[in-house]
This record gives sequence, structure tokens and C-alpha cells, in this order.
Amino acid sequence: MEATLKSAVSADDVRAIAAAAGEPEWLVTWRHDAWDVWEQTPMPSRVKHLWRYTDPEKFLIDKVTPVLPAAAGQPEDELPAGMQESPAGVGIVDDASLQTAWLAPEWREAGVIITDLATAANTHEELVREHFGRAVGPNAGKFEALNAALFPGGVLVYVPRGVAVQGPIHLFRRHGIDLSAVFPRLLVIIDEGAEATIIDEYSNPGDPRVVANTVIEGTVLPNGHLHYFNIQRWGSRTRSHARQRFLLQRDASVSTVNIALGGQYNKADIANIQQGENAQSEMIGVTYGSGSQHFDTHTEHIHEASNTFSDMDFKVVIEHQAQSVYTGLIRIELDAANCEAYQENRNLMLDPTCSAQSIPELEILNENVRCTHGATVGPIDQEQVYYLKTRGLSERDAEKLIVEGFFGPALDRISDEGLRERLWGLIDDKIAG
Amino acid sequence: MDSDAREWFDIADAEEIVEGEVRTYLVGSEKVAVARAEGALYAVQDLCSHDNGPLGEGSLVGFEVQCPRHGAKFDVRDGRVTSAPALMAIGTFEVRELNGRVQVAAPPLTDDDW
Repeated sequence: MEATLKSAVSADDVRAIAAAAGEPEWLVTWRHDAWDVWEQTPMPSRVKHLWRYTDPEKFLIDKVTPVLPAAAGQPEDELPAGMQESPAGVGIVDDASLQTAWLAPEWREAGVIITDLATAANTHEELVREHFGRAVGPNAGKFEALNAALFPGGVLVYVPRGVAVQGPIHLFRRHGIDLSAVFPRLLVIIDEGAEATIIDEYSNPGDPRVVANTVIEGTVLPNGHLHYFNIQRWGSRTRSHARQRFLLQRDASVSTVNIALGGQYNKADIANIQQGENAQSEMIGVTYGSGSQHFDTHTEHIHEASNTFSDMDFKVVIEHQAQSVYTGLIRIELDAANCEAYQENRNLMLDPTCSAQSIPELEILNENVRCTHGATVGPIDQEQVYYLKTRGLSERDAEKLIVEGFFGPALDRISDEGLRERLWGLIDDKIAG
Repeated sequence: MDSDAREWFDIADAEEIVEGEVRTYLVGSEKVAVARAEGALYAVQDLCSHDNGPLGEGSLVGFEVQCPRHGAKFDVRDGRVTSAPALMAIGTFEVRELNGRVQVAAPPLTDDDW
């Protein structure tokens, strides 16, 4: 069943989307409440924090048409063809709906779930209701409310208590309809003592004009461990607004790697919230902007509990007329003692015509903490380029070598060798243009 | 803005832009701050050259528009900086009143403007 386009959106369409997906009444009501929030919330002000560098009107859907849900596919027994790795699971979302959901038999038998949210809301109502919309609800922002009202299907990944999934769960989001709006949504639940690696990859074949409004949320329960990779390879005519937020309970850990290479006009808001004692978060970011790309990235590490740890390493390379703005917040609440938080943002500019800004922010309310942060913005060292050229490299090859050295410390923190090589391949492709 | 090809975009009733005020309009693919000072209309880019502030949300005193973020000022007649922290001039657009409507000249839309 192919996805269809809807030219005008109203509250009636919210019910139609929910009905097409077969959602229970509580979720339909939730969507309608979200639609009310969308309608009643004013547009973000460009004068205020977090919207100072990006025009919110770029993410409106008045000139594009939302993709309505098609019927979700049935769970697959066979690994989808063309996979170049040995994943534990695969989910493929085409345009609006989860068309393929495959799990290796041992993980299916262990109770791991990959399914669309509409199905999960019916079959695992208690689980979904407990976690859905908790990290990113409709009140998180105007565009988050729009996603909540209009997301078609969505994806749930659940790893049950004590199950440590070997191999990645790889999600592919592919949206190829020109002049459309898409609303990817992911809910991740890592139960107590469980562990999983999720690769979440976004692209749109054919380079259509797309407004993508994405919400990624999740909860890692006590002593759970999540490794989340977000690979943003949208086409050159996509405008992307993305909100990513994970909640960490006691003794839980999350490591996120956000690779941003594509898109025309991008705003990403990435946060890990340490809600339980001894929670640990590592956040790695790699952004490479070229042409006239715009990247506005905000990260947050919020320490709500004592003895929590966070480490953030965000690298940006920018060239041509591209623009990057990075703002990063560490917040340690008043009652959160003995926390450690580190933040580093480095920006490398390959051309004088590009621009990069770095704005670190610390809100430390507790006196018994250890925090450091560092930020640099600078041009490529022409002496290094000159030296490499004297060794026989072309100027572009010299730049490539320097860029690889710049990204290296961040990507070397990824322990999975195969994944690391794949990410290097994507970056090399980007450098090659 | 300097551009080889431009066309006139009809943006508003003339009475919508009152004396001493500045408002923002989407003109083609450009966001433009349109002001009326001493009876005449002026149009400049809606982007402070200091920190990308929205000039159309700023204030207009005489011929000076002030950025709401850090207070940089620009002369709406020619886009030049009249007060720091901005250092670089901003772009200007041709603007006219025709049959009670305001029109601004900007580059024509392309397939990438959507």
C-alpha cells in the first residue's frame, strides 16, 4: 500500500491519520490534544534563545503536504536483502510507515520488539502509555506538538529486562516524495539490565523537497545501556527539525553518536537527562556542512540526580558558504551532588566564506561538582596544508587528511569497528563531494 | 539586494505599514523588513549583520532600525551601520507604492524556493 499525500491539514485529519493506523482511543485523544497545542502555541521567536539562528517558518508545512500513513508491513521472517552487516534487527520505514520489521530469531524469542507505535499501542498498551511522550511530549515545543499530532505510525524498539542484544538494530527511514512533510517518530525502551545498539539512519532517495519533523525519545531503565547512532543523510533539499531526548534512570548509561551530513536547513535539539543516581551519558557529534547548508545544533546534559556523569564531544567541519551554530548546555540541579560533566566543541572552517559559532552554556546549581568545557572556532591551518602539499598531496587531499585527523578523536570513541569504518566512509563521501 | 534579475512582489496594503513602524514580509525567497519613515517606504534585509537578528521585530526611530537582540542600528535608506555592535552594512531592496499596494523588488523564485 503506497503512502498518500494530503493537501490541507485540520483537526479532522488528525483523527483520520489515527484511524488509518488503527490506534486506540487514548492515543487518538493524545493526538488531538497535541493538535490543540500546535494551534495554540505561537511561533518561536527569533529573538529568543535556541531560535536565534534558525527561521522557524522554514519548518512550516503550508507549502508541502503531509504524508499520510499506509498500512504497516507484517513482521518479516527473513533478513531483508542487501544488508551488508549482521544486524540483530532491521526496521525499514518507507515514506510514512514501518514496511519491514525483522528480528533475528534469538532476539525475537527473547522478547525484543520492533513494531509500529500504533500496533504497540494496542498490543502493549501499558508499556507504551508508561513511556510514550514522556521524554518529548506535545508541550516540548510547537514543532514537537505538530509531530505528536501527525506522526504516521512511528516505531517502537523495546528490549526486555536483562536482555543484552548482540549486534545492532538498524532502522532505515526513507522518504522520497517531492514537496512533502514527514514526521518520523521513534520510542526506545531499554528495560532493567538490558542493552542494545540502535542505528537510526535517515535519507531520501531522489533528493525531493521535504520538510522532516522528527522526534526521537526513549527511557533507559535502571542498569540499562543504550548505544544510539543517528545518521542524518537527508538530501540537499530537505529541511529538518529534529528533537532527540533520552531519560536515564539509576545506574543506566547512554552513548549517542549524531552524524549530520545532509539536509539543506537543519535544526537539531539533542538531550540526555540523568534522572537516576550513577547514570552516565556520553554524547558524540560530528557535523560536516558544505555548499549552503545550515546546521543549528543544541545539546543538553541535564543532571537531575547525584553521582551522575556526562561527557560531550562535538566536532564541526564547515566549508563553502555553509553555516553552523552550536549551543550546548550542562545543567546540574541543586540537589545533584558529586556530578562530573565535560563538554567540548571544536569547529574547523575550510573556507573564509563559511561561518561557525559555538556557544557553551553552564548552569551549575550545586557547589560540589566537577565541570569543564571548551570551545574553539578556527580556520584550517594553511601551514599544515602547505606542508602536506609539499609531500605530494593535492590541496583537497591535504584538507581531507586534516579533516580526518580533526574528526578522529571523536569517531575513535566508537568501539564497533565495522560501524566506525562505515561512518568514515560516509564522511569520505561527503569530503569527495 | 544586488541581483541581475528581479521582479516586483506585491506584499501588503499601503496603509498596513504605518509611520514609524517596521514589519517583516516574505518577498520571493527573501525575508524583508519594510519600514515607513517620514512618509516614505524603505526595505532592508531582515537579518542583522552582527548576529542574524530579526530587524523586522526591532524598533524604528527616524531612519534607524534597531536590532532587538544586541542593539545594532542601521539606516533603512541605504543599509549602512549607524551603531555597533554590527560592523557590516545590510542589503536594501527597491520598494514602491502602486494603487494603494506596497511592492518590493527581489530575485524571482526558483524551484529551490519553496
